[in-house]
Amino acid sequence: MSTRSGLLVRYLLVSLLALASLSGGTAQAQDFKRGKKLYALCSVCHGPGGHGKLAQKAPALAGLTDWYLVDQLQKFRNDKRGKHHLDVTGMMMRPMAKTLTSDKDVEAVAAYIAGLSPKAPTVTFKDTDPEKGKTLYNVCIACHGDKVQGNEELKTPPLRHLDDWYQLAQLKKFKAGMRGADPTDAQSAQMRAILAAVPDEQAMKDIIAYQHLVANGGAAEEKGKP
Amino acid sequence: MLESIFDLARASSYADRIDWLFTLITVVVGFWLIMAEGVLFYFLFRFRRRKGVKAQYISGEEKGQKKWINIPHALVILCDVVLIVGAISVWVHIKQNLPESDVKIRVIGQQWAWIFVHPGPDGKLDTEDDISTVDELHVEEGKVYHFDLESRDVVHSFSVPVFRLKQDVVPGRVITGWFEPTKTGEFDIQCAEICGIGHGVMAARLHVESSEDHKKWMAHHTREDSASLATAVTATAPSTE
Repeated sequence: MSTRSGLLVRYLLVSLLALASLSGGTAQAQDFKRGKKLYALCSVCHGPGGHGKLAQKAPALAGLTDWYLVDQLQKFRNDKRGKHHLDVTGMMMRPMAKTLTSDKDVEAVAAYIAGLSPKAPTVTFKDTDPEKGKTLYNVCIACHGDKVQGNEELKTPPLRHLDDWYQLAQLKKFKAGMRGADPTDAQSAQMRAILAAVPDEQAMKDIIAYQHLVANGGAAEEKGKP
Repeated sequence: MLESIFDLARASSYADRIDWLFTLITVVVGFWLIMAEGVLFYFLFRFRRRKGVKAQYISGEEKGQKKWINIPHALVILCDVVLIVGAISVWVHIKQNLPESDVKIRVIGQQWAWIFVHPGPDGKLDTEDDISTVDELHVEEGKVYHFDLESRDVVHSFSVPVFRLKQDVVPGRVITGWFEPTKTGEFDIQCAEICGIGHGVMAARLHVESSEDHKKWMAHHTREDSASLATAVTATAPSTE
């Protein structure tokens, strides 16, 4: 009798575990479906594969991590990003981020994007000097990492799949105070402070060129070069 | 009618004129709609199919038949004249007339945000103390405002329902208009011209403030701008070491 009841308990436990894993899987599949559905709106500018569109000044999203995407989407939703009157593209993104009406939707779409396959970043700048960029990158390395991989603890993004034109535009925005001006946005304030060590646009281009070399072993696509 | 039926407040000096015109058009057109439908259904019933009665072809040339066309026609033309006179008088007051301004602001539309440039404490635009905001317009009750409308990209339409104001914003042009806020509160601003995928979320807020509150807002923003400028200068200054 005791053996029988032991078998019954075991059977029940196994069934419950199987049911739990099945329902977990279903929830995950539902989140993925929801993320994919929500991404349809984003894909108009960012492309169906999340590779960005230069014509619309929309950056590549594939290759960014879900935690960074959530963080930035929340900043747009909470008016911490895209609220400066000269930040033309930021002001385009801010209302679009607000179409995500719940934190759950933000997480679902970020998880979907994080699962997209990245492509090598587009290189459009000529006359860059990655060697100079290497020296300048020393101020970035502590946060963005030696392999440009980012750091979740510091909330710094991986930059390896971001096109050079987008990176330059963002660096210029940080420098001009168009991005990171919100006093409650500590990470962006740090970024603005660090940029004091980057003297001009050419220096920014050199840093970006070095990042692409490091991230892709010098194999960055040469699209956009005449 | 708009205020009572749709609970849409009037917050500008000319909102009542627009409402009056709206009511006039609704009453005149509504009267003729009911009359025309009434006559149509009366005739349908009066001349319904009956046993032993053959259908007739009516050319409408006899005097007794013609009056059914001519009298309503003349009355409709008379009503048109009333509507046109009413519409033109409102149009001239709002669009052709430009009263002396107390304050001038700039409104810039872009996909999908409104940028408002307010004059700072010096009361003049294009000076250092200008206050630029995104999706937030702050105005003072009882002051006449002139606005210059500009677009950074495509055609938008600057729509402030409580002011009963709607004006297209055309790239390459600067369109000037005016309003005088008459009621304090927080109201909607929207884009009323399809301008891309984010058109539906191109919304902003209008804050109509009393003189005291407006001064407080201005003082707060002037301080905030100075502080943010100081931070920006500190953060972007090249290292001297």
